[in-house]
Amino acid sequence: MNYITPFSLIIGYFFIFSLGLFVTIHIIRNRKNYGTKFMGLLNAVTVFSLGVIHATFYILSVVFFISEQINILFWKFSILAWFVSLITTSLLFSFFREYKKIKSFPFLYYTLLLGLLIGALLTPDSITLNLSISLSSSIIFIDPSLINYNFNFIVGTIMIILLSLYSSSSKYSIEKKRRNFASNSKRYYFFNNDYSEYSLYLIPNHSF
Amino acid sequence: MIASIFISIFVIIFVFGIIYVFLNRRKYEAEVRFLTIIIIYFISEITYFISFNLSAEIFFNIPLALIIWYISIITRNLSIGIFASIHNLELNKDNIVRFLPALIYIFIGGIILSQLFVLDSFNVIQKGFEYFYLFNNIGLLTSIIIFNFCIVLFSWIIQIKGFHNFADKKFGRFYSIFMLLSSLNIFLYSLHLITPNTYFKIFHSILYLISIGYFVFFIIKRPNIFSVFTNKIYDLIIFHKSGILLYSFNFQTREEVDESLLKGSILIGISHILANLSNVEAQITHIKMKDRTVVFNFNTQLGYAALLIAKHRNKLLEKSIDNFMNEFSTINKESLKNLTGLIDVSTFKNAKSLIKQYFRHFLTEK
Repeated sequence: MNYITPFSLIIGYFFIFSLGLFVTIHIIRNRKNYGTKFMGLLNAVTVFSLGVIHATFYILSVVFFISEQINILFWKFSILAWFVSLITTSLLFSFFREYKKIKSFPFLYYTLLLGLLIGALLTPDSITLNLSISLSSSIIFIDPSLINYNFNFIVGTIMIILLSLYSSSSKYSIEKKRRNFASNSKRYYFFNNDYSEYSLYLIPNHSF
Repeated sequence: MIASIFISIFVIIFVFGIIYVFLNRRKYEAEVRFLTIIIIYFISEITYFISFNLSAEIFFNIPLALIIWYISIITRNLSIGIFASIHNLELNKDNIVRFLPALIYIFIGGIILSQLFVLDSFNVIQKGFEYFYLFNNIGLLTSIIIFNFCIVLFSWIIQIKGFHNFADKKFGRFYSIFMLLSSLNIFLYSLHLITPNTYFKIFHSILYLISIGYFVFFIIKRPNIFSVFTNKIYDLIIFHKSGILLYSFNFQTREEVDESLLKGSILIGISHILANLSNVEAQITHIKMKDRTVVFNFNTQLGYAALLIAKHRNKLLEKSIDNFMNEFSTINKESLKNLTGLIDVSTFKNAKSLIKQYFRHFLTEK
């Protein structure tokens, strides 16, 4: 078994986890500098959810094999954390359209999608685990390429819808206020690439 | 057989209500957005009740009956969700977390929708001449029960805490009775889902018809139901550009008052605006205060302004004041043009009949 990939991932994880924790604390302590306190809080939730929660569950589900049920559960938590960070980022972008004013519509459709996703993840066999090797012991360090998660139709569809909505709504917000938010435009493209790559990783494992 | 009786009664109530509202449509005024939501709500209710009763008919084969049952579940959750959201948002208008109940309903609604896609969620059994649906998917049943529970709980909390926000207290009391009926209805519906029992189903349908009948009766009796849910007008004041009070009406006492209730900074502000009346028509439309809004409407040609002090500003209110001003200008054109020397403000007493005509919905009970 190849141990270079899991070790690299774990080293990367500790780096991201520490950075995520540090940035979250920094944002909370300096939340007044982020426009409004609410925007500061949304920034903190985004970083914490992506850098700490998502990263932790992601590593636990792809680098370690504990049992099929537990690994699937960790994988589901990692998706939920990713989803929460996506929602908070989209809400932050929606503020660009009208500063300080909370737009109710993005809140409503992202809440509906969150409900749909949780409902879909609660259904039996929404995610199945495929192992390419047979394992002898219960808790084992594993090469991530040997562990695969397959989604059912509903979970995959919700993810595709969510990513499309995220891309379109955040791009709309940015394009509308491009002149005022040049630095945020860069952040949008950075985040958009990150989310798109993650989706490209998830969607091929989607069984229609 | 029972289904056809229930559906027939339901159709009679609704058709009667729709025809009455259509024939007396001039009495009813509502904002387009609000009206659209109400129409969606009624369509959901109609679809729900018909599909709920038809899904039990053995006239249909099981796959078709199951589809109708699915439709009834979706439309039921949609209709009670819409109704509770409107109620909660309207009564909670000034609250910072006014969207929270609606977000919770949408969130649980999303879970229910996902769970409906699970195959074999129901086990269809035939008892006598009816189909009954047993839940195989406990997640779906639990989410529906939680949804119903949240709707009843939040609606009652908001109804009790926000009762003082009802502009028309009689409407508030009506709504409490309607909510009591709806809560019992939701309770019986939940019991029917948990234990598919004929009695729960019949009681639910009877109570449902009583609630809808009561609602239609109230819509007929109170045409202002859509316009004054929580909105309230306190005063209407008409000023000349010289600063003279031409007319003032208090909506609470329903009496004309000789002097304005406006004090302090507002009066100073208004005097300043009136002094510069030539160029304000497109500039100032309203002043928002903590619990009131002052809506302005200027007529630069005749040199006067109307100030309306209300709880909230909305399009309906703006339309009413526009119509009032147009009519007031037409009737008093000559008097307003010749307002020099000895000023007799009693000429403008004719505004009272215009108020009764254009603000009739807002002349509510205390």
